[in-house]
Amino acid sequence: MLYKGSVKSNKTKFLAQKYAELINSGVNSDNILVLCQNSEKKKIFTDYAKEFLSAPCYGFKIFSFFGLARYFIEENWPIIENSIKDENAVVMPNLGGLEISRYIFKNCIENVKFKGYNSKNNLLHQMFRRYSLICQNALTQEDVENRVKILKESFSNDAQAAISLYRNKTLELRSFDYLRQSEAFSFLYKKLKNNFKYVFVDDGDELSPAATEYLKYIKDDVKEFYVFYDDKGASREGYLAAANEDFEKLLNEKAQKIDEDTTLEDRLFYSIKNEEKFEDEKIILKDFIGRDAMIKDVIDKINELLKNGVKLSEISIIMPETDSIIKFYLSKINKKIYYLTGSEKLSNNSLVNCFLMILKSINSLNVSFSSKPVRKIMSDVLKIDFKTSNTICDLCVKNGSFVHYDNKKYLKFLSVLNDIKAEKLSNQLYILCDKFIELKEENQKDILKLNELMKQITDFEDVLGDDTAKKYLLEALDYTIISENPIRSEEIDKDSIVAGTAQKIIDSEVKTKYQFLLDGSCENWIKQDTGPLYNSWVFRKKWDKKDFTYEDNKAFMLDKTARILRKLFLLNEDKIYIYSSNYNFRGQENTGGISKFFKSEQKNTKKPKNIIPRDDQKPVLEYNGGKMGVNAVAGSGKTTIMLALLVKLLNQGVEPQNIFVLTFMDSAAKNFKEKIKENFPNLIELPHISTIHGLALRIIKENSNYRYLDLSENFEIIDEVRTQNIMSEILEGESSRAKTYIKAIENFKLEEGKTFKSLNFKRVYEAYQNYLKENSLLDYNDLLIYALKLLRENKEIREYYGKLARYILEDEAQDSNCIQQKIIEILSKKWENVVRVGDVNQSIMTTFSNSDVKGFKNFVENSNYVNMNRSQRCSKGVYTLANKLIKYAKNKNIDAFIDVEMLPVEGKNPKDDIEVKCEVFNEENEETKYIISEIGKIFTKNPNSTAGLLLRTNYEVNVWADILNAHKIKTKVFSDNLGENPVFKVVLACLKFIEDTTNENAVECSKALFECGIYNDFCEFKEKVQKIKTPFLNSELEDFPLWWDLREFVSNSKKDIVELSMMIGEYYFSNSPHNVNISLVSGIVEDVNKKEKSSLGAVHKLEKMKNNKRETKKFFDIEKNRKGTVEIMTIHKSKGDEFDYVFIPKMSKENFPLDMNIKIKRESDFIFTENVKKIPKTLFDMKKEAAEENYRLLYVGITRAKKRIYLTTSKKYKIFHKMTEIAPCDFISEVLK
Amino acid sequence: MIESYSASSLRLLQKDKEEFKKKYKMSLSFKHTNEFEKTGNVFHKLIFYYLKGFDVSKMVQKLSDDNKEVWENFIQSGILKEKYESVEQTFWIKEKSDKDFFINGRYDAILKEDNSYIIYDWKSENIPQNPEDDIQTVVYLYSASKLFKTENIKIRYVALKKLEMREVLFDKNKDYQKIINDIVSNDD
Repeated sequence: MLYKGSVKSNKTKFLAQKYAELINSGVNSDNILVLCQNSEKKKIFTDYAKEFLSAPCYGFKIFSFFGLARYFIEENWPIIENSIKDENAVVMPNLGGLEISRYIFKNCIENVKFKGYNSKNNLLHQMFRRYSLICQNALTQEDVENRVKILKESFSNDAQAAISLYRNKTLELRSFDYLRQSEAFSFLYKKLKNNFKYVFVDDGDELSPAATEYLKYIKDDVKEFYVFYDDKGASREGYLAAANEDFEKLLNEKAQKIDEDTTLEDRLFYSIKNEEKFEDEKIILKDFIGRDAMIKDVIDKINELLKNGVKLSEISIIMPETDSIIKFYLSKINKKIYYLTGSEKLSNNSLVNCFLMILKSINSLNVSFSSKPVRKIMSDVLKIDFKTSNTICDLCVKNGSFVHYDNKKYLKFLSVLNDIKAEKLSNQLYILCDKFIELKEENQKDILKLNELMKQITDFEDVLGDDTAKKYLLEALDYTIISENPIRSEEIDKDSIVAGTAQKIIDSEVKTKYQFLLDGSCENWIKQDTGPLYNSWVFRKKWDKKDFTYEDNKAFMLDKTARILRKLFLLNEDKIYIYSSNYNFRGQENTGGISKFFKSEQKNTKKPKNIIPRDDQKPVLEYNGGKMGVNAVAGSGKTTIMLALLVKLLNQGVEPQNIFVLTFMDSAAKNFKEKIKENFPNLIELPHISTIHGLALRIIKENSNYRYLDLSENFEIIDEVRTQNIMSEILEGESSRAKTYIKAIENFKLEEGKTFKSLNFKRVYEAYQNYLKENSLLDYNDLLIYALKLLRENKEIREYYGKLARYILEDEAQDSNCIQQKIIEILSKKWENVVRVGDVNQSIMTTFSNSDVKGFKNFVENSNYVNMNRSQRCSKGVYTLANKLIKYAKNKNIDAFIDVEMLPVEGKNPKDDIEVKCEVFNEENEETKYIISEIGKIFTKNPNSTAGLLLRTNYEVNVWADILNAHKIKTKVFSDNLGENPVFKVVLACLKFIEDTTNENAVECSKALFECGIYNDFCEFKEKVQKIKTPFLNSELEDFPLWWDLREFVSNSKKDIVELSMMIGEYYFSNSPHNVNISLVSGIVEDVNKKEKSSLGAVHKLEKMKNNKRETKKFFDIEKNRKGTVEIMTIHKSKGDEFDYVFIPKMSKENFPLDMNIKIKRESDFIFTENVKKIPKTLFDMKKEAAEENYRLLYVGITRAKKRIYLTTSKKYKIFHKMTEIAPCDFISEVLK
Repeated sequence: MIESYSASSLRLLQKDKEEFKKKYKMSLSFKHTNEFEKTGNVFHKLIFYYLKGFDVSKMVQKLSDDNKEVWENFIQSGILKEKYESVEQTFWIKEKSDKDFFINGRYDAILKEDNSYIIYDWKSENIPQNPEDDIQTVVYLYSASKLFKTENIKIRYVALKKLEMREVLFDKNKDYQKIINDIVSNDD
């Protein structure tokens, strides 16, 4: 009997009832086989059956497929044993240990050379997947060989060798994991008589080919089949090998359809397969810019539902992967959330960690005696009070071992340790657990984990012997991941919200009223089912094509996505919320995911703000098409008007995906997105807004375009730090020239260099590029040239984007480089609608980057040119000064500017009593004194003013910060440097203390908190702490809030390092503008922690990163709350910003050379890089350009001021401890006239 | 969900309700098999394979000398019969008192002699002190009577090392059902 139906129906109950009927009518239950999808469903079936049974019966032969395989082996082991031709023999083989099979597999792989294998993809993982597919698909040797030919695999021989070795080894050791068992099962059932007269199959669509092959084999012998399947099911297609068997063909009968309504879900299925957008009132889409905002809304919505009487068990949360940060946020719902287990490290459980440490120390293995684990042992295992724990901990850490201390519980512990030294590992663990862990309900979870640990150890001892277990296992267990074990089932807490990945929710058939799908635009929602050593699609049993193309892959992925989402939605009874965010916790943009398959009505409930443009802005708003260049002076409202134009286009009905906006910095892109969201809160899809690198990345990644570049799908993009490291290694001895070479390579790439002028350069360039290629890495410049290459060489791609890019808006066009221009040119060929906005006079990046200011200048002067020359930012004195500078340059025949006079906006510009102050002092300290006194006057008169101190170099920034701090003036120093970010500093200092509770570390915490302005008592704290004799945590420092904080943090040591990071970050910064970076910092901690063996290792790594001045991170811009503070930065950094009062000190001729007497720093390096370029610049040209840029730099500095500008300098400066006379900058004399 | 009880869980429930809860309801126990239990398992399995007709000579060769001796003696003793009705036979019997419940377990071997059924139970060390009153006897005799629909049931405990055997017959006057129900009613 064949039935078609989905999870919505009561199929399991239906089948169980039929099963019970059979038995009640006298059929021997030993002759009835029931196959369920997994152990959870097995339990459900069994429970139903038990309800309907009345007659006494024999055994229940109810299994999952792997359970069945195991059963066959246990019943018929001698057949296998007697076929193994060696001296050994066991009565009971080892069935089930994943850790041990991983160990055996790893050894087999190491035995085979795998020459040339790219180490990026973990070999063990790849091989395991390959082996899994072979087993689950019941592929014969011939089958595999055919597929090797189809895929043109290069490592197939090695893979085959490793697998053969594995098969032999497992036979030899008599140890089989679940996959090996399924192979043994295939061998066994062909040798045995079939006893099953009746076969029940639930969820037939999810069966693997290995299972269906068995059914086919016994088919003729079976009286009756009872099969339930979902013809659009098979969510486990792909790597999990669901066969999606055609049961009608197999059983030669027509399926009866069960009565149920799946119209909505079926509609979704076809919609996804056809790559259309699905819409229904049941599905609510929500999109946010930052992930924090997304999660906060999720929490609010869930709380709202709970308040309205919805039960916890009626809500489920589905995520592509669970990370600690999201768990931390979700814990704020303050209700029970049950996380379906995926892959997790056994040592993540703090108690397991403690015991591992104890075991290592008794067995004389390397173990670090740091405070965190030792304290955990004292407090969590031995239940010693806080104070005594600290004392003992302190002593042990100082000594590096468990030392004597007079405490009853502790002494008992020591004596137990001594007694068990000679025992084997499993006995040691058992005795420790027995003596120190109480069998209480509250310890249930820990007891479960400890039992798992026990099993790992016992398996090892049984198969490999007690000694190997001791030597190898304790080290390995640090990394052990209890993952995807199909045999395990879990008891889902009925009274809680269930959270997990989509597949887990489906496998556990979690039915709820409300489903929250998170991170909808994260690409991990749809993982690729292929890798260098396996291809889930071609390795299917029924593969019959001669090749495997990109189109095949795309179709399969769509099909699989359709199946998974359909099954997921079938489990929903009311509403589905799909949440996505633009940026993930790493500050990276999300691309991909499942959000693109849905749409919801974009009713704009909010009226976008109506902007009344000024006359000089009007032409921009009247733009209707074509090429338009806009030169916008500082403070002319460029961002506002660009936004207004975007709003206008969207209101006119232009689809968001047809608008491309290019910004210079990521922060500007994010800003635009947020502003658009403000105006269009219901807009789910935004226009493409990014830097040119963001656009290039999209072009490379979208539609797997990278396949045309001979790139692997998991290429990685490296930043400047990584480039530096690679270059240093390549250059070995001459690493001081790293910067020069890096610049030269950048020039070479961006100028599309073809021939090498210097053999030395050629050698370095090729070494660098080879390294990148071998490791599938791209640097930022590669992004651009590869994107350009794709557009040039591939018609399809060119046309695709050309058609899409109906409108292109470019911001900061004066800073865009040649490649960017070329890309824009290609993209705009079809529609030719390009608006380029910039300010030629603010181009200050030419000496840094390859920006092509002349290009923009040309564009502006040769197209529909809009001159936005009115600015409402600066007072009259300031803008007059700026205009004066332009005229001055013109008179000196320096071609630095275009002739644009900045005009005021009537009635809008600020006013001040003195708007320009220019002073020349005799001595340096006079200048400093003057600036300090002026600052004092400013803030006294108006404490809410903002002030900027703009400098030439980063070095000076720190010098001035120190000076101002010494005079107790509040300052803010902005930098991208990781170590200087306040959240990172504080979190790291606290984590360090938690790991090692020394006085020094406590003082460091105090220092960090002082530097961030949180606690002011650093000096007193340091003094007092340096005097104490007792451990810090036990000392009487109750007067200091930090002491309480640290005690609190330490007592939370059960939490993992990422949770602690979030906790600390939120504790200190949740009410400060820095809160936007809390999860970013925790993300960094998470990434580092994943790669390290222990939290202590992670802290050390983070410390290294903090001390590396070059380690930068794109932090989110914090909201500027800068009243009464002096912000110190370089002029470069100040671009786009504005302050009431601006100081530009040290305006010497040397600092601001405006003529050809410029000293090009590291001249030889400059000339070297110029030599690499296509048309090298002469020294004369370089000096000329440098001079021009200095003019513009000064222009930028001046135009930052709203009310008043201070230009100061002194006649003498201390250079290398010597007072030197320096002439003031040329322009100063002009000002003083 | 309908509860099920084995002979061991009933024994513990009878002795100490709290301990029963911890071990069987809340999984609060540390899973550790000692050497005795391991040996017992090996013998059970070996007998199982032997009775099913498999060639176990290779496996027997690899036993420890002590165990080999025990095995040889056992096989020579004549306790093992020629043909058994079934080996390692699982049973599930549904009962009703204030609520439904199952009793379940596994007979090591079932021998059919004329019209009676004989349950064999292998013990590696010792036979229970008073087998007539032992809860395992109660459960096995009762369940067999239900399963085979007869009261001609015997249970034979066999001590493998000592080569002792004790037999208990089904007692028509004993209310096996009540004994079991009384214990189960303790579990709330």
